Amino acid sequence: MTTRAVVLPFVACTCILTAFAGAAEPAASPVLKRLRVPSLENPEKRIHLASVNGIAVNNEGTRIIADNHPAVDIWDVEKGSIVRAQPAPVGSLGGGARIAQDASRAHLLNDAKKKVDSYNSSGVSIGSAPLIGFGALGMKRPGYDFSSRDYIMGWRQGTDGGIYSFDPEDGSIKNIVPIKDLWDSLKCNALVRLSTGDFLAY
Amino acid sequence: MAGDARKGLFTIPKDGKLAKTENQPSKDMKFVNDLAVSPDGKYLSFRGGDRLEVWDRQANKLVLDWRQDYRSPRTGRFLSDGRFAVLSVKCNQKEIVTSGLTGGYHNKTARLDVLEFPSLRVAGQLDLAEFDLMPPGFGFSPNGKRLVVSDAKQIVLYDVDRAFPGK
Repeated sequence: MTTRAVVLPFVACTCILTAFAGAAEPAASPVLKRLRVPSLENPEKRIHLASVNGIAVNNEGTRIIADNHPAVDIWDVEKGSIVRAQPAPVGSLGGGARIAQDASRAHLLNDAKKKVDSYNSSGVSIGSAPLIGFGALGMKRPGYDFSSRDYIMGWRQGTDGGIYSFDPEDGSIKNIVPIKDLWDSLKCNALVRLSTGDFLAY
Repeated sequence: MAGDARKGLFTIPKDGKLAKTENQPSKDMKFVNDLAVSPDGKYLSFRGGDRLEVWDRQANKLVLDWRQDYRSPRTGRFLSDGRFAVLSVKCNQKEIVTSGLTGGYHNKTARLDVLEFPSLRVAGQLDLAEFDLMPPGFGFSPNGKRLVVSDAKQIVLYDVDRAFPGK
């Protein structure tokens, strides 16, 4: 692995890395590509329990975004290169990300800035929205549906509870379904959107 | 939704007025931490603890109660063609759903089963034992042609038609 650029020497860092592509697979194998994930930098040698909290691939298999907590890796599969965004240091309990199911966007919780930073599938920053309150799930995907947008239960300033939508253009977060009782937004365990536009929540 | 009165599945239309759906999932499922809906909205998958159920929403009928000896379902997802994928890991209990026990999961034992729906015929199984983590992360492309699986060290991209050929 070769580090080509490190943009910000900060906890909120974005860096561009190159990674190994694996050896060619036999023709009949279902495996199309193997990519080796570069290790997370952990200069303070903090305890780190690895987890992949979410991952998505586009229709062509050319872009992959992985929530490799606390980093989010945005892959160009053909080049075998990634843009790594890491708003929190290894070992921190903070952070979290929402990956669009078509690997077109990633929205990252940035606790230090109290923002949600959004990136497109090339790893380019497209916006930074003011943080809202999220329920027990945090930024974790609350369910799997076939909606082209991303939704989350949340609230603003202790009020305005309901279902929020991430704008794919700039990552702004808008309340699209107000829910009267804040408790319902706070304690939602799972959420999916139906093709009718209604939501199902548990 | 929380609180005993509010626990359960709710429909939320645009006006934000919640309507409870009775009986889904079964009372045997004490909590739900994974929800997935089929492309046509007909089927809904619930996963909680070591249990995974799929319901026909309109018919209010349980169509799948996924169980296999010494395996625990960790998540369920629908593909865009309507098939259903279950990721499971090996565990210590033969019948974990009815054992009253939980845990004892084995690392590097993940397996992804794809089932035709609603026939439940197995379209294929993909052994994911090379992946660390319980479970590894995975996702299908929106058109259902590509599958990606990852642990913290590697990412593997699959051709779905080759991995799960049964149609």
